[in-house]
Amino acid sequence: MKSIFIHLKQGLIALILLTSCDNFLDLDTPNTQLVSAEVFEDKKTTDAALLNIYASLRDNGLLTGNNSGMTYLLGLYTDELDLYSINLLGQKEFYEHTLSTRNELVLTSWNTSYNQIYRLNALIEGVEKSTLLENQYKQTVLAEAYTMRGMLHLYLTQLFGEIPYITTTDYLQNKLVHKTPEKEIYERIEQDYLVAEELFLKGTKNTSKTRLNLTSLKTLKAKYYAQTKQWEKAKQHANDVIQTAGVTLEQDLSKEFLKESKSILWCFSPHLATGNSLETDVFMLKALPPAFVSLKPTFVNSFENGDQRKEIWIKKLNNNQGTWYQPYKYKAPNASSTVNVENSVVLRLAELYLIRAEANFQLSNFREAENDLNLIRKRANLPMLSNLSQHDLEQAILDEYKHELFTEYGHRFFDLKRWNRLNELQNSIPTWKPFMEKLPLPEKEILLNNNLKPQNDGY
Amino acid sequence: MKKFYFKLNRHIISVLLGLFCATPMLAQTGKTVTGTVKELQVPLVGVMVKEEGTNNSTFTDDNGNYSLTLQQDNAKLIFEQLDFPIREEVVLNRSVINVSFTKEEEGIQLKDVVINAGYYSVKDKERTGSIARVTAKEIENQPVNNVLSAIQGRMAGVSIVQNSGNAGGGYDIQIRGRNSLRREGNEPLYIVDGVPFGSGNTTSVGLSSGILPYGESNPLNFLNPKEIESIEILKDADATAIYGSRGANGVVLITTKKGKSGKLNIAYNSDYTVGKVMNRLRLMNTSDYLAMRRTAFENDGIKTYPANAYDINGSWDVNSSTNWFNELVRHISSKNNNQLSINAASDQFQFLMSMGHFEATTVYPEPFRLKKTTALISLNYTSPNQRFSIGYKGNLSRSVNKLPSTDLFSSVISLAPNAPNLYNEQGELNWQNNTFVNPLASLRGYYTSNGDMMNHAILNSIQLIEGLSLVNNIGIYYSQSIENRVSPSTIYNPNYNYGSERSNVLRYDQKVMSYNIEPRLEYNKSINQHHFSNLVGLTFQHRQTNGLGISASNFLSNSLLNDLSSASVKTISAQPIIDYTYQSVYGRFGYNYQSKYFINLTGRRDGSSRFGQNFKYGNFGAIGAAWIFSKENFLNESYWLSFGKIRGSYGITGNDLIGDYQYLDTYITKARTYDQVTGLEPNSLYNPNFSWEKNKKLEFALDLSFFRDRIGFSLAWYRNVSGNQLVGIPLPGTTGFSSIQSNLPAKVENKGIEIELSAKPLQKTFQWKTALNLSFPQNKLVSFPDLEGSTYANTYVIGEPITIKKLYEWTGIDPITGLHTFKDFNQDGKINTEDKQVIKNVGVKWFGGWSNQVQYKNVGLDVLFQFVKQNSINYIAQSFIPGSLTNQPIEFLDAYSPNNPSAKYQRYSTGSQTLASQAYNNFKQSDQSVSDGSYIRLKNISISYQFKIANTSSLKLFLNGQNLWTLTNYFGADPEFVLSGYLPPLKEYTLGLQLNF
Repeated sequence: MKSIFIHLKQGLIALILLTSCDNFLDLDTPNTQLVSAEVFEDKKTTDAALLNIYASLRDNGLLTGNNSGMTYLLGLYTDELDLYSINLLGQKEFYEHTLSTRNELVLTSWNTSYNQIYRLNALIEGVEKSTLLENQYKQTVLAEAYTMRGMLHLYLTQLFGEIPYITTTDYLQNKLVHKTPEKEIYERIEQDYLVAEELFLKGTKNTSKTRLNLTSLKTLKAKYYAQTKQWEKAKQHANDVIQTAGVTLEQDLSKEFLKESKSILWCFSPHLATGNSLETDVFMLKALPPAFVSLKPTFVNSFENGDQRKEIWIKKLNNNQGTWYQPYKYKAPNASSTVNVENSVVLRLAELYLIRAEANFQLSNFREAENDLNLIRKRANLPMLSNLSQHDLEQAILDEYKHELFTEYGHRFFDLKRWNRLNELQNSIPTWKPFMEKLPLPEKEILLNNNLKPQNDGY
Repeated sequence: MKKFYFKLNRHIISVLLGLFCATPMLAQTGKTVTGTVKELQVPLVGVMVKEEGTNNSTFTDDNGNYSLTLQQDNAKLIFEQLDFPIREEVVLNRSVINVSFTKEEEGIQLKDVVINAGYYSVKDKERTGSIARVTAKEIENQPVNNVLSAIQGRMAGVSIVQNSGNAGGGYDIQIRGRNSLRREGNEPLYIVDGVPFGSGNTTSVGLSSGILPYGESNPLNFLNPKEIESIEILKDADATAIYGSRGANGVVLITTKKGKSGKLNIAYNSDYTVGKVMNRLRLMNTSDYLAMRRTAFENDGIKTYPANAYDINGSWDVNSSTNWFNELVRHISSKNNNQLSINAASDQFQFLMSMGHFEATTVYPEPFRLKKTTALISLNYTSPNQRFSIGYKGNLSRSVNKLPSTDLFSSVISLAPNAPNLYNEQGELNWQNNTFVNPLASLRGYYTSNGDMMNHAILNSIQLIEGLSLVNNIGIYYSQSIENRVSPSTIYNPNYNYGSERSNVLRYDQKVMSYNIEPRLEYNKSINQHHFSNLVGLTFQHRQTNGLGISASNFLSNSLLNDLSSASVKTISAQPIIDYTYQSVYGRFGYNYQSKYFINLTGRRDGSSRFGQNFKYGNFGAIGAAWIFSKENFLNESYWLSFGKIRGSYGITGNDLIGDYQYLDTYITKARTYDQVTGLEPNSLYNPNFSWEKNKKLEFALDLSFFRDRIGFSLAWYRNVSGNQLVGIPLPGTTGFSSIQSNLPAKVENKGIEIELSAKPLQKTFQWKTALNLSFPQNKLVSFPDLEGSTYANTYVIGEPITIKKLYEWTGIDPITGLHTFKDFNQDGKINTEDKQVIKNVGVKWFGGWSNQVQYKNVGLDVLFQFVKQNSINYIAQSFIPGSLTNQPIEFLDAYSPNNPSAKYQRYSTGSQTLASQAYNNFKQSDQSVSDGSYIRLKNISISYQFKIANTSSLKLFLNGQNLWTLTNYFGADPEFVLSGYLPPLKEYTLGLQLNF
């Protein structure tokens, strides 16, 4: 009320003297906002900006465990999951292979990923400019940011083919950006990974599994080299990680996804201190028949007899109408949980054995490849492989990928794609067409930026 | 205090001030005039008698007598009583002037009413600007929650669309078309009793969007329509320029009732309304529906029905048939309105107190309800010497609204007709072995909005010297709302075994506190035939909005959902404090000669905190002129032409509806945590260099009256060009965001013609008044530099309206595939976005209203028709592919089959076939998705009967109907609003009474 009278008085005086106050219109920064430059003057706020990107990866976009992430959508897209919901059109298009260029889940994945990339670029620009942060801290933060930037672009290009590689926050540049040629995309990803590696080596050591560190970067590099068929390097990096101190293959399958699991290389910290993985909420069968998704019976039947992963990582439920299978790698619900026992695991050691097996196979070290597979099979209580033909070994590697990494970040899709065997999906999915190896570019984005043309073939 | 900032305007103001000071003072005491005012031989009490051009006035006493001592030579007396048109009498050498008011009897020269133009008032016949007006009389019987519903169709150039049939929602109001490319940038400025009212949307979008379209509400929901005296809508530059940067979209001025002079008067109104939903969609019955489904599977080559085809695989009874419309939204809604007002006055004091209570229920089968209690207090004091006056108006309102958290109307349309019963034998919600998502379960979740509002307006006026007054306007607006969206665990299938640990509540509290201080100097002076009326003033406004969002989950019990402390997880989702400050200086200089030639100049310089450092200030202004040619000698006294005026105006107004703090480059906190750290994220892309949207308005108009005002005619032509468009320019996702705030050098032109015609064909015992308004708006994108290279390339076309859609051209059905086909414009063998070459305008071609008032003795009849000629997006645009597990309108029975080769719709498909889905998706975006949405609607009809109880008391009974009849070819639920999935407007019947004593 006091200010009212001040202004009343001011008003009257102003009317008489015809003068006024300039500063009436100058407001303080709003209470909920921090001027960007100030964010990077302080370690705490820089941490908040960085960790928020992790949180965003956990909750939105490609890596999230909920029903908008690759785990769910690519599970529907390949031969892992059946969809029961009839109203969710976006999901239905993945499941029924009728993806349109207007699919809102594709659009959201695209936009969320680029928003995350924007935040990474803003963080990189801010931290690099900052004069008040100490050097070693800066290097670690930058290393994590470069790693994520490379990783996101790698996923995007695997899903969409050629995409723009974004390294600046300048919207004038980014709004008219062209697609980056595929070769250049891969070069840039490697560049980001190499920069990150150098920075990780110089920066403060960080062993937290909820943050990226040198070991998880090497894992991502191993994946990258496998993807680009640089088998020697892939093998080398997989080797490095496998031999890292403190990381061993968890032998008890029921403990593989617990937060103390020794297999974990990188996992997401939950939003609430008492939370768990987002996957459980999506996959849990609360009633039968399932409201949303369950594993395809054909997928469940593809396990070898006695495979412990089928027993421990899949939950069978039945009633008088039939039998359904729930992905059960994660067991603790997230919603309304009171204790944190599991986190979404993004990178875990088993994959590196498979990468090494694949690299060995491609380098014609077939027996070494078999050995790596056997390390994984032993844990699943499966008989050891020996002296398989080259053809059988290839199939065995692919099957092991399938059974070890099902419903994890669309692995099935990317593995088949890397092996050039996506079209085999036609056996179980009659509607599959070769062009479906790429998702459609969101029409809305092409309309907003004609430079993104042409649309991927087939759409 | 810093230096004076309005450098440019200083000179203008000095000149104005100089004018005031240079004028000689001519106050002089003259003779006393007495007389009696009567209506049909009955003395009229409380008629204001005023000497024109002065503040000298008095009221008639109980016997209708008055006595007034004149202050000027050549005086003219004005007799004013709200029930009658104003009367003017030139005194000449008379000392007794008796006036006999008759309700518009022929042969008496009548003058028009005075209308509120915001900072000043003007006689309707002397105005140079374009102002539309609706008064209490026209809206009082209508059972509406928001006054905007009651003025639909009553004013030329004003298009109002109510977004939902549920009370508490928003309105799309456009005054002379769409100026801004942003939907929310077209909102007019609302002023209630001189106070800028509300702050746009008063709800939190995230909580309410399931039930209120766009998640919007309208600030005027707070007001009681029965407490409103008049609504003036300012349209052209002359009228809106005084609101400067906020006038571009027009100004809605609302004046609430005030104490009328006269003796103690008590009025009581009460009415009761019943209503039901209007729905034009006719849906398939079970046999047609199942036939469609079977054909769809057959067409798709699927022999065994899949597990999730519950409707035909045996999970659901194929013989059952339910009309979901009746089950879900056919509950009779009710409204109940009670209002009591007490009016008392003496010469110096006028006092009015009004209290109202309004309740409305919904059409859903659960007891949802809106309760609104309002109070209005109006106090006025005028000093005996008439030199000082002070008035206060307080509007208080409290509303409690409870609605479902999602609108069931979408279920009505989409549920299969053989979907299971809502309840099982035990009377519990039926989930049919988990194959059925029971729509009633969602009604256990609800949205509540509790709002309190206070609007205080103080207006005081001191006459400093003769003709010069200092007027000060102080307003305080305060509103508080608490919204909750409650989702108890019982909305889920009970087989999930969810307990209260799954219940969650989102809450958003918002407080808005705003004050405005507007001192101004008014100077009115007449020297012989030269009349001046000037004002200069200042505005300061500060508004602060405080928000607090809480999300709570995992409750102790479902009975404790309103106690957030019983939730084990509570997160503060947001806590914004938003300031908005605004200041300006303005002036209006009015001059007329012989009340025949008028010229008005208006100027305003505004500063707003919404803009960056170098862009805070803007200048706006207008010129308006009028010539009442019927007063010229060659036409004067003409019987057939009783009034004729030409007027015109040109000026610039602005628009600052852009949101606050958009020019800052900031990070904001996010409630999401990681490693137990609360995150910070970039707020938006930032642009410090954006500024006002400017709107140049030009208007010419002709106002005519014939045969002593028995016929009135008004024709207006306007052209508004809105430039410097302030928009969130859409950006591709690769920029990280979907838009950036910026000025776009695009120009949007709105031009049009407005015609108003009124007549009083019968004026004896049988009275009939009729009025017609017609508006022909035209919208065009005039220029858009580098449209092709911009992100709007596929949205707009230069020379076309901004409401166009680019669509596929439908070329019929391919007899081989049975699917929709489209023209391949670029002949690349594919149908994709580049083939969207057909341009269809989705918008109004012309619209209007036709009102009639008939009075025969004590019986009154009011009828209002509303009509709109337009193209609308029809049902096809939002439909699901016919053949999928959703019901369809009967129009879709006309599907292609070898036996029906000339069908309108493609063969049925379950949606699992890519080609069929794609063809259908393209069909949804083809020229077929836009069709005629024109309609004629009997908006309001009201019959009343008035009993005279005593000389001064009366009882009026009335019967009122809203939306009783509609004529349209529209394909969809309702032609008035086309948002799919939300409740259409209601058809309502009201019985009410008005008691005066």
